Amino acid sequence: MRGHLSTCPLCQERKERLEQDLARFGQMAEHFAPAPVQRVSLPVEEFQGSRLHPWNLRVVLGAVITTALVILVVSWSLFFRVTPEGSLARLTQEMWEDDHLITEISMLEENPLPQPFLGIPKEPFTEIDEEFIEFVVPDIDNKTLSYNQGKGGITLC
Amino acid sequence: MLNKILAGILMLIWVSLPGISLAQESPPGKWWHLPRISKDLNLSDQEKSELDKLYIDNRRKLIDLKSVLERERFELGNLLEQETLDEAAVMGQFKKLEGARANLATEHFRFLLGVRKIVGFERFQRLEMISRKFRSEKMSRQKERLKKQKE
Repeated sequence: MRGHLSTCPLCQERKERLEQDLARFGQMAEHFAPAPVQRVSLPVEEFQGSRLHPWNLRVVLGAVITTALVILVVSWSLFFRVTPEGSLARLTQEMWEDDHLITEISMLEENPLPQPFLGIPKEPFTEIDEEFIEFVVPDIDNKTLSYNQGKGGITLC
Repeated sequence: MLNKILAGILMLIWVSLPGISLAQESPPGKWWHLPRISKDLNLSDQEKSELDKLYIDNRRKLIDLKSVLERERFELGNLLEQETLDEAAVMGQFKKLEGARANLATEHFRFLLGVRKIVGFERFQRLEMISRKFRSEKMSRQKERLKKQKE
């Protein structure tokens, strides 16, 4: 075909005319096309990496909650754990308090009378000795009195 | 190690506790949680739990009854301090006071009865022996302390 085109003057003329028509058409297109008003830019594809898939979000949330729970449990066990020493100390404190309560209760059971009357005995004196006699019967004429326990009487010494 | 030291201190405190009334038949507090006594009496977890419950119920009632008794005592003291003595009122209040005392003593005894029911005859006797031993140790320590004070 190229060989024919190089030898045929008719076909060469037609080819040149076609090329001229095409060039003229290009000039016309350039002449009638509107001038660009803004810069043409190709649309940029949005980065998909920053957006989390709902499934990923759940995993992250679960991990955060688990970590928080682990921290809470560890700190709780560190600060509030009940050690044998701690429980013994608490037990001691309870024993002190209970002893105080039971002592008070026992005293009340023994004698519940109001404070001013606690010192006054309800029962008669069961033990009479020298000290008691000296308290009840004062010295007469500088003579001391003595309680004769064997005979059950008071005699002048 | 620290555990043993604390247990030793606990025993020492218990032995030297001041003013334990002779009417007190059992050691104060939750003695069943003391490792030594718990082991000696071979107390089970169930029994310890029952003793815990008994203790809490009893002490709650004792605190209430003690306050009732103290109130009745106050009222009697108030009546006795009046210039004009109302004998009937005083006697009535005295009966109330005696009633409150009886209630307190009953509740106090109920605790020992509960302990006896939980631990049984044999272990209760052992508990009494332990209690007596500690009491005698306490008395001897108090005597020693008094001797030292005199010296």
